[in-house]
Amino acid sequence: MSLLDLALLYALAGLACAVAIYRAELAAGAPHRLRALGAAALAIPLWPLWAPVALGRRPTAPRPSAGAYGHARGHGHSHGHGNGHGNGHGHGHGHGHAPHAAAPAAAPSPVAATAARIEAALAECADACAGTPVEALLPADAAARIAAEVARAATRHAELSALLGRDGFDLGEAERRLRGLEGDGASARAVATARLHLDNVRRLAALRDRDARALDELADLVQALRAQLHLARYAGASVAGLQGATSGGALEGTSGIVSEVWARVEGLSAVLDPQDALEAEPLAAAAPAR
Amino acid sequence: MSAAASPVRDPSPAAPPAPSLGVLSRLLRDPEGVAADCRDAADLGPLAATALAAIALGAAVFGGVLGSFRGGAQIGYAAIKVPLALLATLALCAPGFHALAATLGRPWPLRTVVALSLSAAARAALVLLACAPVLWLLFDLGLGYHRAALAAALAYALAGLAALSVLLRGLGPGAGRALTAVGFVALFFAVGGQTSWILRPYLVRPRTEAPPFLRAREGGFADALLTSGRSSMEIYDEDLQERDSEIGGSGTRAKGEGDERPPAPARPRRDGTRAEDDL
Repeated sequence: MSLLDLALLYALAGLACAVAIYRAELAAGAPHRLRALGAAALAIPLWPLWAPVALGRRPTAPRPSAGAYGHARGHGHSHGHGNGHGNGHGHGHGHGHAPHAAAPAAAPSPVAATAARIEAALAECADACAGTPVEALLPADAAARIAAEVARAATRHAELSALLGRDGFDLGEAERRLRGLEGDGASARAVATARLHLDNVRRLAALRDRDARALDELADLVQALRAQLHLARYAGASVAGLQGATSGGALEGTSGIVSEVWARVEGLSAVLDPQDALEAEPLAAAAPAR
Repeated sequence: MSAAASPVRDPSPAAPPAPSLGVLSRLLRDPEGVAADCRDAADLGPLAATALAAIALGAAVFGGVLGSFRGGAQIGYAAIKVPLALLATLALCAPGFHALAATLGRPWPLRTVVALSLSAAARAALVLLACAPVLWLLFDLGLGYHRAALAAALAYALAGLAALSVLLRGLGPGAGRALTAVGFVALFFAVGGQTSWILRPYLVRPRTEAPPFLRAREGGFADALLTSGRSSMEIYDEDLQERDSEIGGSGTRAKGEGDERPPAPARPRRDGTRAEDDL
């Protein structure tokens, strides 16, 4: 094989890498096609150096825009547009574009901050695992799935918060209304309606609070997982052979925490199906017998 | 209420893989941080792009200064070949580095090893860039050919030390660090030596009429090292061949034998240059 043949093979490999990098850049949301072309062009002469970096970029977990859960609370985007339609406007167009928030950016809610913390910690966990023997415990795609569930939970929390901030969904107001009707001797039907409304609002509030608590607990767990992974990594944990009790304990601890994280995520997912929690009793069944 | 909204992509995608002055500054001022980024950062695109740009610029300027010893077209030739030699060496060594690191207790992703290698080489290239004006001044003050070669070698040595500092920090503490570093250096030296040999000449004597872009290939880097080593012990290849033909066998002339005969003069080559012009 002559030098020319080698050069040709090198160029062909470079071309293949360039195509892969170009497609990866576009899929990752490169703002300009030119930038993707530039990254691809660099691969042709330098693919042994550039391709591992360009193609090995860690996947960033899908994140809701700030408008999805930071802005939804109390901004009334849903007025007159049905449930969540305003929120959909805020983040439904988020294919790599910033949300078109009608209001100036507000400080992220505590739940949004918690979700962001979880996502950052998950990304760090995936990074710490990548290329190490513990990667099988938390591969990048698994971390992305967990982050997606967290994002869904945070989005739902924001939607619930926005809903409960609307007129007619205030818990205190519903309680006062019921007390007022009972005190005024209103008809049984009216009291039953008010009681039903209060129960539903309480359930919505309970769902919202449960999401917040679950995310808080998950945040603590993921933080612990992150520390455990770093310990496992620097202790030189190896699947093939563990060197000493410290690294072995670290690996076992890591496995245990990952299992717990998955259990919590499954619990979070269970909470994400609101139909059971929001099952409304028919008025007729709630009304007392006359 | 709408169904749980599907999460959207991060509206602020990863930083574009473009060279950055900030990264360049960190390469010089914070090698520890850069080494840590090579291990931990999710997106190594900006770091790699900046490193490649630094290598291209620093090595090109240094090569241009080397070529200025002769001047003319050699400035451009050397400015192209020095970064080419460095990048080709890195490209060839990267898989080897990855294998060495994995074997010696650092099973990092290939992108981490590549980023670390690029960062180390970028720092070296920036040191070469810093040495370029000094070398240029020495050439301007009338430095002779051999001393110019030594000065260039000293600049390369300084650059190598700068690269080593990043490499050692990047390898981190732990068992096998020194051996891994030695393995990296040995591999780089071997591959880099041969790559540079293929792309020579860089430093050409002023009296060379028409310096070629590439010298005709004669032997290799290892052969040249061996020949130089033997010559330093007064063992000359021409004498060895003559002795072989006389006694009908191979044999190394013992030191002291035939000292009265001076070494054969360098034979002119087809392109008109001489062996002593090679560097």
